[in-house]
Amino acid sequence: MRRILLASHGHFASGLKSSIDILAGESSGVTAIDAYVDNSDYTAAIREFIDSCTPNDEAVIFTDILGGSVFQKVALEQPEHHGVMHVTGMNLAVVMECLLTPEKLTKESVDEICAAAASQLRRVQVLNEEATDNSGEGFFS
Amino acid sequence: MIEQLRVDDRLIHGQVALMWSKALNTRGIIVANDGAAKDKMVASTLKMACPSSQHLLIKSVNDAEEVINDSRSKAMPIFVLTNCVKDALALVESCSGMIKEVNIANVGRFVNSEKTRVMPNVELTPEEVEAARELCKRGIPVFHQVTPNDAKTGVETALEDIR
Repeated sequence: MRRILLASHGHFASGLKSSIDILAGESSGVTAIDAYVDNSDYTAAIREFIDSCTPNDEAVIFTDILGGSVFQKVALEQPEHHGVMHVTGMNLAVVMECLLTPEKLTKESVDEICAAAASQLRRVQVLNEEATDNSGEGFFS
Repeated sequence: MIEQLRVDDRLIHGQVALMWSKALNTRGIIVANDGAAKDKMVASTLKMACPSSQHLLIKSVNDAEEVINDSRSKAMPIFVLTNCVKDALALVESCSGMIKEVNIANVGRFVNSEKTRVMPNVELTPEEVEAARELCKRGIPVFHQVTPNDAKTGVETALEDIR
């Protein structure tokens, strides 16, 4: 079975699920965790999802932003050790494609879907700008 | 100088990386946390969370004291993070004159023992309440401010109603 967990700060996850519902007609294979909308500890729900996945499932956890605390909570559960993939920086494109692709979800196919979805995130009328890398040598340098 | 010491049980995360390092205009972040200093998994997760504009050090609380008291820290705007009030108090006590202010921002969500809600996002165990009271006696501002756009709440006043 294809199983998808969306986890986010605030209602992005349930909002994305509702978008999928409208576009795909249903989202029953999608679970949403809206973190920090109340004071509850949401880590148990992440663990529960990972534990409930079987080797026959094609399971992916999507988190909202690289380095955010929701991302970190998922990363620390080491989902890959349970055969569950973790994709961060989720957008509607990547979740929809993972949900709807007729291909089996493998590391390779998910990488391809991520690359395609990432290419959808762009300023319209793109200019060729080089990003500057500004990583430091030593802390005090 | 340590522009701010923030108590945040999520250490480096969205609010810190996207908002605070910019608002405080720091050049470096020191995570002072014994667990993170020991755990490669936690450390590499924090590295991924750190914005590229900030140099990063992940140190035990003891080792962080040394870095903060390094003479080169005086000239560099630095942001320090601990995940509990007790560790913040230890740093303020041992790094006299180096820390401008303490922000008790997010504490207690992931603590499952007995805790009291002091402010929104701040739930303290009895030991943490005591550490917060001590912290308020050290002559530097101690407040609660989750994002730079929120108003500051004084911690000393918030503690008056506790127990």
